Amino acid sequence: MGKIENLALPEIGSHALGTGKLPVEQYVSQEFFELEKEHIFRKSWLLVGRESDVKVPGDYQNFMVDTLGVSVVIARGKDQKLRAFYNACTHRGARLVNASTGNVRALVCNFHGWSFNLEGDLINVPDAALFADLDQKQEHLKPIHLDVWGGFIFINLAEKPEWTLREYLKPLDDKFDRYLGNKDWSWSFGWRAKFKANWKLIVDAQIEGYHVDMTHRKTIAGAIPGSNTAAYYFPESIGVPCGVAAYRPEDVSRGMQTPMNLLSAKYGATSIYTKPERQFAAEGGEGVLKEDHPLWIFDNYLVFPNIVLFVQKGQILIQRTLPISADECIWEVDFYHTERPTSFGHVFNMEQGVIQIRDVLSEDLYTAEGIHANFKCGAISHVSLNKQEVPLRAYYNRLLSAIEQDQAKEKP
Amino acid sequence: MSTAANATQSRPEISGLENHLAAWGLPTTEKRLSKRLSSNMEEVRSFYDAMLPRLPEFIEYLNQFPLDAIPKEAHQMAWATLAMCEVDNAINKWNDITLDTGIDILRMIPKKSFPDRGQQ
Repeated sequence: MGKIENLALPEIGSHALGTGKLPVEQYVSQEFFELEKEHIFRKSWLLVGRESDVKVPGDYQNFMVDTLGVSVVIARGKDQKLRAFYNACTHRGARLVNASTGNVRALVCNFHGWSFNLEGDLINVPDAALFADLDQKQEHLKPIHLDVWGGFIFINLAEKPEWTLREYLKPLDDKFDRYLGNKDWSWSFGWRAKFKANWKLIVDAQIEGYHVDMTHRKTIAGAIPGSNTAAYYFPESIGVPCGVAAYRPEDVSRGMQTPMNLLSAKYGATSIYTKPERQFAAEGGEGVLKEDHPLWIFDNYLVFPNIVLFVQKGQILIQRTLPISADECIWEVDFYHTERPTSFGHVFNMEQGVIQIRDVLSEDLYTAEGIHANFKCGAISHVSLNKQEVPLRAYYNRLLSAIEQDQAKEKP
Repeated sequence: MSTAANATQSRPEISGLENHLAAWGLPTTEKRLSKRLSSNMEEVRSFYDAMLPRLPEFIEYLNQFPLDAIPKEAHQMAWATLAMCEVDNAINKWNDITLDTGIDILRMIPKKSFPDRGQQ
């Protein structure tokens, strides 16, 4: 055990963003949802994929922004460059691709056979002479702004994005870009589910540590004590309003460490709720991983508006929540690791980790639908937040400021 | 890492466990989850109690092979070992087949890749 000053934890939270109750209208109001669509989802950088999934020329990915009904094709061109387009043939508007991923030489519309190269140029029109005055140069696929950071693909549906992706993601800097973009990461597992709840309720459940002891009382309570989670907020940031850090208890035997947890901990580090006997390899984590603190497990960051990114040594956990309507959303979680299992012991460790986190997530997801119904029926009009829940204030503030700033910009 | 040919540890004795290995030695996490959900606590406990003392020996045996060289006759043992991860919480934390403070676990659909969002 290190010296006591080495084990000091960051401040659990803050009252600096105020202490009053917050209204709940933004979770249930149709008018507010329309504002979110127009001023947030059409204007923010949205994480839609991983660069390594669109690796070679011709690889494409089709991403549906359900919120706006926008289907996006992300394709790698012959020049190796990634581009994003609306998944819409410029002839009569049919979708160009329907599969979620694939590799093509050209994007060919199934309706009449117009084809576009991976740079978006119209390259073939069957019986072009049938058109009176078709200027093929004008029929380029409608482009969407795209950039890559940390190996993740982001798009921005604005005609002209207000910020570069790097400006947007501050305080996450180039060190994060390098660590998360390391080619060693590979996708390991994930889940998705639909909820009859406002999308922000799913996000809210991931950005405070106050819930841990109660919500997770039947799984991992004690292994990450609520008192060992610390809230961050970044009022100056455009796209990263807040986050949470988690630390193990000083007494590593806290929490219920079952014989299975202890056995699996000998073979790998997938389960974050038991101190592993060996660590993942992780290159380039300087300035990102807090390895100088012996109890640190992870930091998470809300990437506004809808992503919670968990950064750890050798493990990335990313949760994405997209609204379908004000009252319904799609949630996804994905895990990346720097090491693939090569032995059964590692497979066993990963299976234990997968199942532990699955059950923990099922608890995190348990409250959203009930809360949504209570807000919607008017039973609850305001919520109380303590200093440990300051990320929810930061999130709320950013939600309102993002809308207000964009509205102000549109005024003549 | 040794190969199947020079494995130093011989296959553990499984007599008395055959029924458990047959019942729980299922090839995917989803099948093992279904098995837990369709079992009662008595069945789960009987499997857990029989397997737990043997587990370190099974893992050490299986661990000596490259993953793609685990002998076929040991696959059931490997899968039943992984099924122990599936029943851990039921036995040690819930004393119940399911967690009553989480969403129905079957609502969480396993993904096949990062872009996999099912049928759009």
